[in-house]
Amino acid sequence: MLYFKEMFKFIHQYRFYCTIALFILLPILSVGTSQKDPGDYTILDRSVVFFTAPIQSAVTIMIESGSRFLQNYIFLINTRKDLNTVVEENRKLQGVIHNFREMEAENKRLRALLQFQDKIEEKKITAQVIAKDVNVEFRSIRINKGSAQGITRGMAVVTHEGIVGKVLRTTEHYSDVITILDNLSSVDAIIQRSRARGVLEGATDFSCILKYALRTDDIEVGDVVISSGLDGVYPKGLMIGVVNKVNKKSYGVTQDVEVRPSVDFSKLEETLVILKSDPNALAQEPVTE
Amino acid sequence: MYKEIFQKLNFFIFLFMLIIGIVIESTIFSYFPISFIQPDLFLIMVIYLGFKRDLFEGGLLIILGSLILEGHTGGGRYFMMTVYLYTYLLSKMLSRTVIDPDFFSSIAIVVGLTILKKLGILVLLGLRGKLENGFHQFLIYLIPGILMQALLTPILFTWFAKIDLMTFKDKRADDEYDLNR
Repeated sequence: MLYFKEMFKFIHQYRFYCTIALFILLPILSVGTSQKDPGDYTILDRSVVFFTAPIQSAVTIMIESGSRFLQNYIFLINTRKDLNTVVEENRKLQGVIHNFREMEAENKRLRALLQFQDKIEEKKITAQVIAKDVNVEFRSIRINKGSAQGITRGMAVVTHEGIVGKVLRTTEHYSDVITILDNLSSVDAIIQRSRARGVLEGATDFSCILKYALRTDDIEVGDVVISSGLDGVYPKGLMIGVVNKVNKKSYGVTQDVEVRPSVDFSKLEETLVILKSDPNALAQEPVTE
Repeated sequence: MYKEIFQKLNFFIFLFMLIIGIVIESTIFSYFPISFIQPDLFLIMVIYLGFKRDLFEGGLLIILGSLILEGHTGGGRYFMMTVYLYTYLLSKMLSRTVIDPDFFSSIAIVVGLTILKKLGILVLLGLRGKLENGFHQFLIYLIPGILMQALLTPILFTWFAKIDLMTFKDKRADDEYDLNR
């Protein structure tokens, strides 16, 4: 008892220094313990998100409605509509071309060995982007679907243009998605043409870096990058982006490859969440020679 | 009695302002190309609190604010708390030299600590092996971020000071308002 009394007296006497010590040590200890698992929402997070997410959703709808009004009724009514249709059709056609190329490459490699399914049929759900990351250093997004709609942590999020990212955490009606542009994101990827492998990590708002691709690998500017399906998150063969820059030095083991994502994140409004992602669906098929 | 209620309310008003700031940053400033000039409103608040609050009260507000902020970013658990709490301690150290920052000194302090905060994030990313990726982002956002922070600092510092005055947190409020009148 006397010991505690003395301790409290000491803390009270040096409370300023004790507070400073607490504030210095607290982040070190908490960051250290959170490194292994980034964790889901806490009770505090959930209660705050419960209030902020509907406001974010309302503000986003207001901004989008306002901007659509300006675009459609004040500036170039018909031209804008035509352009939107052409751009949309162009994107769809690009997706179709990409699918054909991927199927052709798969056919060449596996025709003699495997009987495989052309498409992995998975259940998907559409979700609208309602907010983006508060910090400029990170690039996560918030969508308006959550665990009530069957979304769980780690599910793949895509659009018809390609991979968006994966679900980081969920509440009942909202989910946070870590995009492939985020510094902390990583996707196992392959080059469609040469089948060279690497890990794609986020770098800036417009580019990613393909790491660990061997210097001897055949990678050229314009090559299409697709998901390998080996990370257990994204189904195999989904479009990620196009190689933008290749820096192959005369020494070293790897080469620097910059990739421009196929998804236009600055105009990202709606996404598809793959509810049942089975990246090994092809690998599990029986092999017949 | 009213004075004490107002003083207690001050803590929650600052928390409420933080939530409003989060909503603004994550919606309006998320659109390209405005996203390039997205300010860090919480950082300005942190620096202000470093100058105007005692160590414990300001620290508590920042820990709570950081935890709220972490629910709206993909940065990872306690990432923001680490960065903002250390920035607060630096701001507290500066408050021993610059007691009441004026127009120019407040801008200089915010700009300096914004750079340090960004470097702090780089260090934490480095600990996760993502230093190279974060460095690209650091370079792209450094100048626009600093300019925006410098522009907003005098405005926000004035607003915060007004709130302190209205909630009797500032000692000068006794001369401004007389509740017995």
